[in-house]
Amino acid sequence: MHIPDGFLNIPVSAGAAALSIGAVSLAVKKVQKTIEDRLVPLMGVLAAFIFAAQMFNFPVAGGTSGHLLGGMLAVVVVGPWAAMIVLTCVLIVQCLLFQDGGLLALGANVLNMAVIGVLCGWVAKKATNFLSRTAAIFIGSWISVVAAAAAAAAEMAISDTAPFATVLVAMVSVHAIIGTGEGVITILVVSFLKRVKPEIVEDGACRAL
Amino acid sequence: MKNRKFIVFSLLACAAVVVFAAVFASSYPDGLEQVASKMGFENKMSGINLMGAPMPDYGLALFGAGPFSTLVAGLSGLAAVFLATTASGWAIKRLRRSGNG
Repeated sequence: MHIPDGFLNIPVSAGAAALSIGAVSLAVKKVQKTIEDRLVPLMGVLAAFIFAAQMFNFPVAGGTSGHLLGGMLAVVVVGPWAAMIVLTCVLIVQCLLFQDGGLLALGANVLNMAVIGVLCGWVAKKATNFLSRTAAIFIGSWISVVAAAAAAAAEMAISDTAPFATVLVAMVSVHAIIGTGEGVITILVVSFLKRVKPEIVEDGACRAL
Repeated sequence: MKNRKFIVFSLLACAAVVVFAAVFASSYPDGLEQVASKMGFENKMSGINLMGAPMPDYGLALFGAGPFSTLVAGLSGLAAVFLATTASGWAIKRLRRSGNG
């Protein structure tokens, strides 16, 4: 759901960029407090994996495709604040090297996927952890995708690209399907990581790292 | 698994995902593109390469449009993302050491 240039007007692009800069600066401050040597290459690998996985579009209903966003996966492995930084790095490289997501829309794409997606997924996972960890990861993944889609819809509506209610319903309904793919892939990757390197996917692991 | 071994193993796995994606990724429009075309605002997309991104749409002009082009672009992107994120991580860590955190 990388927004290309042309869908957002200048005030919305600028506002979203300002919010993103604020949120990512806060994330940098939070990560500074806990970052250890071991976390750094792990962030690099995680970003690389999310980039690779985002290249794999899987078909969903009605001639549409979707791909992993990776926000919830990043939250599970490195915690929410480092996850924001990881996702932001991926989005910047995709924008600058591949024109995947517009340059003027970069702030909005960071806001939707790296900030709103990550935070909503993290909160949803925390709120549902009492069910089971797997269920919480699935719900968090789904929420992260749907929340990012809703934010993108709101930005396009404020930019007068499309009427609010219609674009919101359309974006949320298609991403509700893509979000289930996000949930399944995230659970598969986390259970694989649990087998090969359990210490990085345990709750609170990022603090221990 | 030891850390270094895990990093190397993971990067190889990422490269494998890129190969798989270059061959098998669906070319259907994604959720947002689909919504834009159904609601009739996809023509608002400027499509101007403002920064002169070297590999627009995950391909290299040199290799045309096909799985090989996507593969080369994807592997370059993989290296760029890994290096950029690792460098950011080190930078954040250094900032703390210089007493800023």
